[in-house]
Amino acid sequence: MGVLRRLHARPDREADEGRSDDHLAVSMRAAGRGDQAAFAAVYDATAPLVHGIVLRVVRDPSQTEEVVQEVFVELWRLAPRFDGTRGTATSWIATIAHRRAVDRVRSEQSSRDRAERDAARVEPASDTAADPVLDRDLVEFERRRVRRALDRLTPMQREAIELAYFGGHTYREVAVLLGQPEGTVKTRIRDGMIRLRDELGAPA
Amino acid sequence: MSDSEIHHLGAAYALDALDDRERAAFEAHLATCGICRDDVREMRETAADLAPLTSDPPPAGLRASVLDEIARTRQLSPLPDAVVRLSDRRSRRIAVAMTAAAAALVIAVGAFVVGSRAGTDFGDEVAEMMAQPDVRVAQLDGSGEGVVTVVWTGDEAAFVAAGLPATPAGTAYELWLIDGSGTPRPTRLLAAPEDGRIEAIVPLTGDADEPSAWGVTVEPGSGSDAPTSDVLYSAAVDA
Repeated sequence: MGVLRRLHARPDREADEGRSDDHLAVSMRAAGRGDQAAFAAVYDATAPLVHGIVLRVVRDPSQTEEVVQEVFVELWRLAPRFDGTRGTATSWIATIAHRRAVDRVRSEQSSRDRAERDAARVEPASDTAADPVLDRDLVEFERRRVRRALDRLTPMQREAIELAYFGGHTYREVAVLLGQPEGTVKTRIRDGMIRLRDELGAPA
Repeated sequence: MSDSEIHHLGAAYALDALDDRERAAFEAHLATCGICRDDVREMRETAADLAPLTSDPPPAGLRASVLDEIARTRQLSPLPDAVVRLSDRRSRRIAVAMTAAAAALVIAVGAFVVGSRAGTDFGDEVAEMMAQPDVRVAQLDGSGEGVVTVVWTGDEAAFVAAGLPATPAGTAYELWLIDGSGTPRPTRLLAAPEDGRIEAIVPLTGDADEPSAWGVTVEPGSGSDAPTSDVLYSAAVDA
């Protein structure tokens, strides 16, 4: 049902992104049969995505490089198990990259320490605009669309989601950072993600 | 965590915003809840939509290094179609110490086990174990798919698994109790999974130490005295 809603709700986007994700899914399936050239194509198409996520969470460039390499080796190992009917190739890759990055920072030092360290510098939402701009129109278009959608969330929803996803924090840590009850933060994250999903589903 | 609350964790799970214990409990829940699986799938797509905001090319040298390493790396085998897949299992092993803080997990896992099997002999047996003061729970992790949980107390364990791949003909899963000296002791052979699911009560012999770890292998017909395959699922047990 979720997939159906998605297809109906975002005709414009599926037309564009669907195509590029189809290419990626085809390459990923070929890689799953041991095709190293196909995997090189997967790397070329997704390295900025993977590197960007990991760098944002891990922050240290040399550790980031290690984690990015681990992510791609993991994607190679798991490629025979990639199942395009269960989600897009992009989200599969982003999911694995984000989790690896989070695992790295959480094993590095206690999460509470990190939460306290970061409490002093909660990054404003608009900070995302400072990321290096890629010269690809599609990426820039996509970024503007996502930023617009984020702007439609309440400030609490946006902050909670950004601290969780970009900061790599658990919702409990986010609660500490925002000085809010855990239950409130859990609800903000959930409501914010649903709103985001619906905003991004609406035709541009 | 109450049973209704766990249904609302999909967004936090998709953002990797649950701690280890909640994640383990939620993954156990996912094995039995199609609504939450759909929810997670959607929320992961939405989380991935955030990724372009951070897009940033890696150093140029990384490409050759990655391609060189994958050329030397063996891929996992594909899964049978029938397997309920819970992709992206966390690579880290999850060990659950039965401290007070972990009690929430026992309750969550217990609710999942008992809730889904209430009224069956197995469900009743587990419910009784959950009521014991010394009950412990471990969520076993592995490179394979599926969720494997062992609940134990005294001389008895319950083995609960969902989403397990079928084993080759003439073989079955075997659960090993790794004792304090690191020696794997066979417990019992587990019948081939139906629909990926195994539920079994496992007697632990009287002289067995407290486990320092649990492991699952695939063994031929009548079982083995020592593991003959790689350990597919395992969890260390905190003393």
